[in-house]
Amino acid sequence: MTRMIADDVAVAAPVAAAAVDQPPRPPRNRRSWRRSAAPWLLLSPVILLSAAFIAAPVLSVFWNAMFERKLTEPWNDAFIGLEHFRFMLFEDPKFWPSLGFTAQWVLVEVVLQLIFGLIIALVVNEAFRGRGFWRALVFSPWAISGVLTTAIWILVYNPGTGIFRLLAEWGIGDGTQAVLVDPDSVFWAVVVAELWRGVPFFAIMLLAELQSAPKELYEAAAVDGAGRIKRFLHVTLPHLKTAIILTTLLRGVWEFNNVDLLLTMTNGGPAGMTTTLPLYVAQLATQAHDFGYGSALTVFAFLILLIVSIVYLKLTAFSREED
Amino acid sequence: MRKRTLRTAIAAGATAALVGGLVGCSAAAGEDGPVTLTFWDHSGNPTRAATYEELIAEFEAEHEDITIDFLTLPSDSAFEKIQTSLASGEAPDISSLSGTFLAPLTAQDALLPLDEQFAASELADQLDPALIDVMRQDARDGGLYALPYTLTNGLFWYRTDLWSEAGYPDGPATWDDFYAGAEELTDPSAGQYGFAMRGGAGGVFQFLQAMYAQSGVETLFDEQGVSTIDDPANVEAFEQYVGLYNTATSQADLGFGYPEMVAAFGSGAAATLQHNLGSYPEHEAALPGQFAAVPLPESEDGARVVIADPIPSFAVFEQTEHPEEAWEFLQFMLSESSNGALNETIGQIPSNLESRSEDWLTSSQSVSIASDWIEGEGVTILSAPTHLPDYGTIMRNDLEPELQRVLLGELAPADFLTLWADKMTEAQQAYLESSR
Repeated sequence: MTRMIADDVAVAAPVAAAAVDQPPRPPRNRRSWRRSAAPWLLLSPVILLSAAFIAAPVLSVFWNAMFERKLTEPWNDAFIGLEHFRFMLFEDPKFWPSLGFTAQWVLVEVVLQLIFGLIIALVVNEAFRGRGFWRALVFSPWAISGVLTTAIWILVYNPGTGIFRLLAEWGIGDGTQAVLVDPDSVFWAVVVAELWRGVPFFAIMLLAELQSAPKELYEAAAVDGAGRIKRFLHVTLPHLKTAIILTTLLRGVWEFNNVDLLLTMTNGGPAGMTTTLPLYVAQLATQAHDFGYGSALTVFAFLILLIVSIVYLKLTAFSREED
Repeated sequence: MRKRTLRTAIAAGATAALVGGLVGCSAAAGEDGPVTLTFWDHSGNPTRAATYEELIAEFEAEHEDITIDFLTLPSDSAFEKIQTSLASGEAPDISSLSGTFLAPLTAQDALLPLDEQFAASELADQLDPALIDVMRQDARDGGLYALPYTLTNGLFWYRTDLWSEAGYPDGPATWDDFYAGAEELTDPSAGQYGFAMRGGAGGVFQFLQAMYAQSGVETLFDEQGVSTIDDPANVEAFEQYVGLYNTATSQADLGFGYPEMVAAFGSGAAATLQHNLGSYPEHEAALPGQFAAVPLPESEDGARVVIADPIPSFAVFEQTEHPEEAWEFLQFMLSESSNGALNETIGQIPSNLESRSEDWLTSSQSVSIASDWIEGEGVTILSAPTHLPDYGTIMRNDLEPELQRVLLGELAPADFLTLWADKMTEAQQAYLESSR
């Protein structure tokens, strides 16, 4: 803003001197206000929209977190400060289990998706007959909507029609396993479904990065006698480092916030065993209509994601790499 | 100079357009011309929606100056959509409400009181007074904010062929029949089970209905407002019912909500199902002529206790600009012929007493048996405690995961009932306190 005003003063003087026949100019203060206000006026639609649709909702969540706000008991609405956070940390029997499951879910999903995605990217990066077809095939789950993915996997796991019935017809098992309600199998059942959807993301991103790897490095490494494994460890992995950091961070945030698959496949069950923190928030909002406490949980989740992202980027020295 | 002025003008114009556009979004529509009423159906049921459309056409033909804008909402998100419409000032004029919606909506002052119009109308003599009482109980001030359109209660739907083969031609007439028959009809290797249990979404209420019917406990709360859910007779009944899981049901039943449970019955995988009259159309579509209904049997000592399902109703929203026309529509929907037509479609008992004498009621096996049961001698009809603002939260958020723990053997049935009773007692005490 300051620089604009200075430019205006510097440029305006000679122009004013040359324009003898022109009508009288508005006073300098008015002109400089116009010049400085124009960019802000042009930006104002974006600023207003951002304020209305991003900043205001986010701030309202922070604000509501300090209030008792339950649609079914409006007479209890009141400012309660940090009471929701005290309850959350020390009294809510569902909070810590849901947070623990969220951490387990994110860790397992991101690590397995990275491993399988990397393997697939390396395979389809090689030259072989029908590569285009296989690339399209392995990437296709990424193009399918979350609701369809869950519908497919619910059918696969359905004891009456799914894979276990098929196996039973082949003499393997009795076909009665309901993996989505069995505490021993439910975690891995939903992990596999989400892997099916998430692995292609890593494969696509890592394949794109692999294709930009300089061939000279591989040739030099080969000349130095490096085998496939050494070339992978000392050439491929360092080249993929930035992509891996970014994709794991993005996927970690997405998996943390995953609601659709778990809601549709298990609704957080059996007995709350697959309830993530965001799913718990969704249940509080849509079933209990408790927007005050739901906001407090959302604020906590936001802070966790913020802190974890900063620590992760620091630990991986991502910004230094970029510089 | 001109460029600068133009640039400023464009910027100012863009801002004005944006602000103007946003303001325009909330501008009210014109008041002239015929009245348009918005009517929302909470059920999301296409069969029911088709009947509503027929009734609406009939109403519009009789009232040329009133047009009905009809919308059917998905049942599992209807309450959220109504809440969103209230927050944005775009509530419908009229809506059907699930039995659990009324207490929170009256607590929010979202509905128009109907006491005066109702008292002065013919409906005062026609609608079942017991159901009107339930409507009043659900409102914190005891006012009348909604009018009931149907009544239903829990039944056993059973496959007539399978139960006949098992030696029970009339289906499960007693609790002993039910437990013995359900086990007898179970053959996991053939994918055949005696019973489809609702262990997932919405299941807790069905356990409540079965438990009180079997135990014969005749009140939900004692005089001090303490829940009777953990009464020893209830504990005994609950333990027996829970024992069916994974012996007379499939393992998957733990996650069954309404669609899965009905699909298990309709596909022939389960020989019996507990649900109210409302699922009749789906059974008829899947198993025409192969099923029948029996009431939940009476207790061992002959007590006949029925916990009626939460009562669905019609209500007019406080935000309406056409309360008189909305009341006109409400009267039409609850008249003898409309109420009868709607209930014939959904296979339930009409709230209009005059509609209950129509022929279709006696010719419908399920409706007539349910109707006879609740109108019989010595029956105790209990209303679901929908007057508690937290009723829905307790039944779904708090108890469903715990019920699944019971089915998994991780929580003792008696401990679960104690937990349940404590929550209901706490909610009832808070309700009584706030009512004072």
